[in-house]
Amino acid sequence: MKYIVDVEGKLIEVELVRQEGQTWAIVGQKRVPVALHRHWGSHFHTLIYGHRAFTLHLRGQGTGYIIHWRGRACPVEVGLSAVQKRRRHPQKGAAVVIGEQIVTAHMPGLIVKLEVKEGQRVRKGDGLLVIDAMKMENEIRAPCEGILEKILVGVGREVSRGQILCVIRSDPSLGLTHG
Amino acid sequence: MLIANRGEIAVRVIRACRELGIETVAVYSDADRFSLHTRWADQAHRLGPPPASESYLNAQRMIEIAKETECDAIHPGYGFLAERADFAELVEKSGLIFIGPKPQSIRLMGDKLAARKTAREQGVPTVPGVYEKIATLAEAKRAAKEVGFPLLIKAAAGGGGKGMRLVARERELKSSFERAVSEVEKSFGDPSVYFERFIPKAKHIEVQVLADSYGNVVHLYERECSVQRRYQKLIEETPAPLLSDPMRREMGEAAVAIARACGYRSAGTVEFLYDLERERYYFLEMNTRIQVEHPVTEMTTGIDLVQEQIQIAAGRKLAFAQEEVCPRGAALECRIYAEDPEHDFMPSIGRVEELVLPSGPGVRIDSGISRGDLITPHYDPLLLKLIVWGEDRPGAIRRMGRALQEMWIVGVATTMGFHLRALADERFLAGSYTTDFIRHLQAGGLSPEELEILAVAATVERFTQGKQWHATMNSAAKEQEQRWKWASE
Repeated sequence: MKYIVDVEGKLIEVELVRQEGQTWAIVGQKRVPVALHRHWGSHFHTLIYGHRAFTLHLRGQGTGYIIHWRGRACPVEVGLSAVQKRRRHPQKGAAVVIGEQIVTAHMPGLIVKLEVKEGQRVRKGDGLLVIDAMKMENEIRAPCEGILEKILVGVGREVSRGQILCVIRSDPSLGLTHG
Repeated sequence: MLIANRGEIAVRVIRACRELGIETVAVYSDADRFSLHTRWADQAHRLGPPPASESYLNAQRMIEIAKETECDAIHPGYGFLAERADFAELVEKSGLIFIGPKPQSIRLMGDKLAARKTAREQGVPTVPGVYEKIATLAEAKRAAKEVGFPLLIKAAAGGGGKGMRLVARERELKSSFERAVSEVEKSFGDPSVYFERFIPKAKHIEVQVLADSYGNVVHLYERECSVQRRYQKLIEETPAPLLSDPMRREMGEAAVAIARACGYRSAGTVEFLYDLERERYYFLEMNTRIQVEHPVTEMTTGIDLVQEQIQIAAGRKLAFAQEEVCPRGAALECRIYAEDPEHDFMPSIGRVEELVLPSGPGVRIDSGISRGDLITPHYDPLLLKLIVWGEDRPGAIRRMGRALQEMWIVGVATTMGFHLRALADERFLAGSYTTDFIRHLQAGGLSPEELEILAVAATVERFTQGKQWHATMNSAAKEQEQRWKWASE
């Protein structure tokens, strides 16, 4: 099976085949036997790649993974080659549910201001709330147009990075503009 | 002994006490109830809610706990109450021993202008600049003419980079001066500042000193700490590369002279700026406490600085003379912060989901965290320090690289990736790096080989999990839904 893998924005083609009771990876001109062993009770894995072994911390499901290795956390997207070709620009980090856009905190901090109310209509780029991080105020803006369905945080609340702040539902009359 | 601190330094002091057979009392805020230091100490007592002002900065409460638990002494660690002369005084007045210098020494060196004058009186070069407080814009203009541009505005009442501002030309003076004054007033309650000439190609080199109560003062050679962000250190090493032996000796003697001049006792550090182009050094300030980077000196000299502090406080004489301090090899420290180097070193908050620490020859870890800990925004985001020793500098650098590759911290962003990049940088390897090193360090991508390994690992994972994929997605969607319900309740 052929996959297109997106590692930090770089695309790599990896083909996996089963032969001689063994999985082989074909990358470029190379054909290398591979195996991935998950360490018991954790997300640590050992990748056997030819005669070499690499320990990685790998977590994720479906097509998106986060791999911790050599001091960094790398997001990795694995797509089927055929599907990737159809969707020229696969949307990364898009909403889970079609018609809903989740707005998350891109930094940890303290919510100091809410600029919108539930049920309010927002346009793309409208200010939603303000996060104070390291004594700097950062405005979180609407990523799309729609109705503010839910606000999950309040003023004075500490949020961590990636935490869901609010949910915007696309206005049905506008049609589904994303997803 | 009561340890009036938290995190890795509290653990470090507990270790020293264990080795000396001293019982320890830890203190904690509500955010630290189950932290490493509270579990390792013989007893742990509550200070108050998480904010430092209501917990680790509560001097009165520290004394109360020390009295209740019948402690003989208080070790302040670094930060928090460590350099507050009033606290040291309060400890002594309460009949307890303060493990550190006399309150007068803390006060003298805490006043940065008085410290500058002390250095000048000892014939130690100071950075060209003024020796009097500047309070008004008129004074600032006059002083700026005298010092020349570019210049640095500094707080008279304290260090740590607070209020520090670089002024490149005259027309920036007014606004920079006004902003610095208001920032300094907020931090120290005293708006006075002073000016120093800005030295562009400079290294930050400091000398460790130890003094007992009988007038014996020795230096334990230098540490270079030029890898900094926001005037705070990230990598420290000893010996300082590119420093000649005569210069090393001279700086050591200068540090001892300053320590003597302020009647110093305990462990302290005299900081210098080293002008790489002119090969000259200037006194910056003296830190009257144990420092974060003290382990590199311990690695090369074999002297346990925290145990020495305790012995000195107990009234012992220094057990060795200057000639007996013989550093061997090279040591390096990488500070692992919960900060994201890809986003301007913003603090990262979260849970330490995995923690795998390196080991092997010449590797030392001073950590204050354990797996499962929650990293909160209340305190300094230092997680742990990785220290290595090597026969020589290249050996120590290679060992550090090896150790960093053996380490995993999952759950919060850390400076680990930054350290690996810094260690591979040409200027770092040559030792010619200066305090603006980080600004010029390029963001490093993954090598083609690394990209390939990550791509293959993720692909095999997806391939083997392919069959379970739908089931996983379904349960993930359910879980997400459940979480929303909780979150909105």
